[in-house]
Amino acid sequence: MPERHLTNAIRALRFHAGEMTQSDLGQRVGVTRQTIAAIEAGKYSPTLECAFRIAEVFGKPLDQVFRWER
Amino acid sequence: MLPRERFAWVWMTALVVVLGLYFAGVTSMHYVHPDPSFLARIGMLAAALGTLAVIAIVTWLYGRWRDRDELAEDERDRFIEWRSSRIGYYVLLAGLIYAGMVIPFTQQGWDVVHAALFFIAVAEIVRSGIIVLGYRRGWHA
Repeated sequence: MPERHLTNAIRALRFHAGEMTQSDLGQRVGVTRQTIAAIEAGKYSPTLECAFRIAEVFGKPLDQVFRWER
Repeated sequence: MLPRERFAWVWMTALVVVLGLYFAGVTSMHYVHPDPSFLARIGMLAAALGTLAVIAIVTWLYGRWRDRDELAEDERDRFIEWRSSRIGYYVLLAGLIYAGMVIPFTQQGWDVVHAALFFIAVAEIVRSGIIVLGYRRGWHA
């Protein structure tokens, strides 16, 4: 089975949301700034619940925030 | 650096240094006094464990004071803690099976205590190392 990895558009979405900081996003989602940084850098795959909360903050469907790519 | 990662670094280093010195001291004492008194042995052990306790408490208090805004634990912290504790537990289990069920057939007394202490330290070092790796390198569920 080919290896797939999770990518995300959080950095771009933060930029379009008026340069929302990682700290602000973390507070709204309920995680630390470091966790948002780790998710953005692809070092941590969030739980489904956290992923939905992030998508909800940006008002986007989940698949516009996270992608599962080859 | 997150407070939990910093604590893991300090704890891992303290275990290596303090228990390294302790085991070096025990080994060298064995050559100077082949049969040291119980008080000398327990004194060395108490000094090592006391030093570790002081380091843990001071580091924890310093972390609470320095990072009071970042103390809240989130899902990533819990995931890293779960993974490190799970692997650390298996290391501890294997070590204590060896120390408690194999070594007593050939050694006795303080040798068994030291073997158990050694494997507890190894398990804790592994656990702390995995916490550091979890924060540094990142891991996926």
